[in-house]
Amino acid sequence: MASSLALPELAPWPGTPGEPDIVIRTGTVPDRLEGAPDDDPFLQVDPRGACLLRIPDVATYHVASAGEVVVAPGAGASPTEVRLFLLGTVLGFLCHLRGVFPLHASAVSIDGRAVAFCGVSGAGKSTTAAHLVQRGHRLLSDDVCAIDTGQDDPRVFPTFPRLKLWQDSLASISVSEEGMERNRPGQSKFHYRRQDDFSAAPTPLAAIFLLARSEGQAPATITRVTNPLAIIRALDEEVYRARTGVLLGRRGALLAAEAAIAASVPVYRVARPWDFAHIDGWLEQVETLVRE
Amino acid sequence: MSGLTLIASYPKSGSTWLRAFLASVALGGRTPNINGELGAIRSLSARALCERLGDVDCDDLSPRAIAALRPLVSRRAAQAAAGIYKVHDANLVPPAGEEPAIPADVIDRVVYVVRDPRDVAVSFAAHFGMSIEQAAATLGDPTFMLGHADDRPNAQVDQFLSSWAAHVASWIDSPGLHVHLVRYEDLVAQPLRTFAALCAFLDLAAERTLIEAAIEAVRIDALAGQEDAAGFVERHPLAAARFFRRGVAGGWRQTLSSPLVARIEREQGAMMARLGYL
Repeated sequence: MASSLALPELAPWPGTPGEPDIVIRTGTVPDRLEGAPDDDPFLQVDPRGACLLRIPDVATYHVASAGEVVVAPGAGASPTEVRLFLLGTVLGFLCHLRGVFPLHASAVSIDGRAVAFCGVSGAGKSTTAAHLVQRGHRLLSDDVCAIDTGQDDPRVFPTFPRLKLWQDSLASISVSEEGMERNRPGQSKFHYRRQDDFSAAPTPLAAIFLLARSEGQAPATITRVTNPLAIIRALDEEVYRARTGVLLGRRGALLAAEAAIAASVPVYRVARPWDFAHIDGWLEQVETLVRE
Repeated sequence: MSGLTLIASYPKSGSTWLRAFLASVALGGRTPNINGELGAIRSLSARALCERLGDVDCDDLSPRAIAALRPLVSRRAAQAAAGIYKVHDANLVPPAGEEPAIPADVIDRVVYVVRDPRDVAVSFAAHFGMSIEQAAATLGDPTFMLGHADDRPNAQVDQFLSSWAAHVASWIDSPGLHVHLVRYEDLVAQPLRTFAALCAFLDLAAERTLIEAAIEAVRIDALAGQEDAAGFVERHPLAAARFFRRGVAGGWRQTLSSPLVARIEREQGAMMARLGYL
């Protein structure tokens, strides 16, 4: 990837220099895309697969193709905010366009085996990944987990070493937010970079955990989902920017990727109490399951 | 039925009780599990719904962007999953937006639940963990927004409520909307007649015996008992008391100081008189 916009979150390319797969630059973007339906104030997708994402007060992003993104920052937008959507939503679009399955998950590598944690926003994906990194494992991705199902066995393409964490989650790993960028102005959610604990190598996907909250004081339970159709249904709920993927003609490809994952990767449901006090207990269980 | 059927109310006006009743009717008259079976009537401001239908992450969006997202989500909900939804939004254009969160063209009909604002103030204070003085001030605040949190993840997104009186007027005085007004006090005093009229408005074919069973099944002690045993997912993180508290009308007489009563009556009096509260 080559970018005229500074992207300090990303790790440097580990291989030999060559032609970039994706070019990101600032420039002018179209007002609207020819042939795109006009029913969405944020997003237009045209019949060729180009996307125009307009975030009020931040920037407009023109994903002209699977290899080119043009960014037009809004007046007064902070670089952090401009990068936020580039490294989130736009990354999701690029996954769909490039035939990579984007799971709404944070992932770590446990002994060289990728483990992904899924769930709706607020389910604890990033917090879980942060605690596993504290326990000595390597970070692969936060929020968007790019899974390649083109090989025999699904593998995770790591994204970048940054976690988006609320202040209380940072406190739970004894990290102060001092000096960190805020996710949005005035918000107590911070961008926590862990360059030293990042693994950039494609990593075989060993397990997926679907995070849920148990009510009251019930202890954590981890249950394997055995029915492949239930796994496909669950994964289908966790596709990142799923609606856009469908608009891009990816419906069939997404189902095929979900089926490939269901066929070879164990999937578990985790229901755990909503506090940090018990997290090490069930993370030990996760480690044991992955190492079995 | 096409489009959205709304259970609309200012917070703490009894809409959860009403949802529990409808859930019980659907369950043949048994008590619903408050932590699962109330979810059949979803909130249009639920963050998970907004993120799924909007294909966005709400934590990353400014209030202006959220104000633009809400009508989009309502339209998509009407298209993809028409049915009954709960809302606390006023039927007004929010300060940062260009149209109401639930545009009139996607609304099929509205059940509007209203409660004496003096009781609302007492319940509101307990629910949000604030003083009754703050609650009374909030009821009178024409700019009041609910659901915005910068300090923690939130299960809801920004909703524009305005003041109590403006909220009520926005729904019951809206020409072109098919609105059924339900007074909390009538649910308490004349449950059978009031719940039966609700069922009729919603085209629910419920026999009298089923309606009676459902009313019995969602008595406040049954719901409060579940909350004591297992908590309640909809309880506010800052709440100072149980969600299901007393379920009575007129409790303000024991709790609200006379200056606060005077303040609420001064600020909300015209609408209170229209609804028979003064």
